[in-house]
Amino acid sequence: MTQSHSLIEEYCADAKVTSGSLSRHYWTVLVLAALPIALIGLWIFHLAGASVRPDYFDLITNSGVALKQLIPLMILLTGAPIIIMLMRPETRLSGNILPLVAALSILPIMMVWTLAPLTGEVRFSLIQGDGFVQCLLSISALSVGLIAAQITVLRNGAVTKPITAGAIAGAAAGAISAIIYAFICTEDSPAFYGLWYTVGILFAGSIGAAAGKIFLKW
Amino acid sequence: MGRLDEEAIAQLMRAAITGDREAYRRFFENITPMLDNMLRTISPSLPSDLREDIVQETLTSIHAKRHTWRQDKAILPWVYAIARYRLIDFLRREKRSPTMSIDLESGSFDDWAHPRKDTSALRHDLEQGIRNLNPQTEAVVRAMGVEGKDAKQIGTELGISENAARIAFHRGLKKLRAFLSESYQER
Repeated sequence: MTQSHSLIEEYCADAKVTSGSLSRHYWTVLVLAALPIALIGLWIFHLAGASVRPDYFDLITNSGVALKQLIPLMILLTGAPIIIMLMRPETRLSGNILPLVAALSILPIMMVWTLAPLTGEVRFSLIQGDGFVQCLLSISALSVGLIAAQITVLRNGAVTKPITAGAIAGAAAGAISAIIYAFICTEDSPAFYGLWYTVGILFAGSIGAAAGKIFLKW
Repeated sequence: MGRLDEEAIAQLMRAAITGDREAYRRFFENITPMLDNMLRTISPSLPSDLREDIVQETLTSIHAKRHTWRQDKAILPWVYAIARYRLIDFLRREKRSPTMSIDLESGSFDDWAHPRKDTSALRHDLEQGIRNLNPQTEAVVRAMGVEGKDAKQIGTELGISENAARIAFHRGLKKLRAFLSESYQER
């Protein structure tokens, strides 16, 4: 153990005040990344002819429309604490993942609830809406920077479940992207956003899982 | 130096995080044998030089990631989680997992923290030592030392004299002693 002793000497010489909250660091970086991504994203949408809905503040009082942003917000708020926990090496996931699973289930349930009483053709047109491709592409594109920001924070931690941490960070990024996209999205049926927002969030989750596997080794 | 309990070790780390070098040194001195013992328990077939490499990598990670320990939480689960990660990473890197046995669930924090209480590693070494004996001596040692049979009974069962059974038993014990002392000197 002689080498261990020399290592110990080296680290003792490097003992210095270590402080800082992982949680504060995570939220600071996330907010600092989300704000410019939201502003630049909305500006690009505007240039492409999809501006923030002019009647947004009137519509937001309509619960059906508000849910488009509230449920992704719930996904973010239930996912973020798990991401922060996963920065500590000893974290074991058990019941603490249930609130996130519940939050992720709400949109699909709303979709099924809306579609159940309808006939095949109406169902299809509601699901298809006017632009599910745009919805998916936008949520995915907005997610990339947010995933990168979270991976940077997670690398500062000691993540022992990199794929899980990356996947949840991806889902959180997808949720923020859905909130941003909802400012311009005119599809207000839960049959549409219940499906495509969920697919977008889960797709972002899979990008995050792949990024976690690659970048969260230490 | 007496072995400290978990709270005392946590206290040392709390002091180290505020820049106390002496506390940091004592922290490392306390956890190094625990880590060695933990690795020996969960991966008994790991050679001692590789075990030392993993201990060192774990010490490096502990130093680099010490800000991820929550000071109001127990410290040993944090230390051992880092050691497990380093062990798995090492096995993956070296592609040793198919040949090297590893049981991440074996042992407990208390076992690893108090090596003398840990009998699983000793059991493993004893079993290895017995298997190293020649077949007849192995049969005699198992029958007399493990199952508690007497020399006469063993002699009848194995078709040898009572005296030959006694001699085989004593030779076996001598070889076992040599095997164990060699194995423990490595540590």
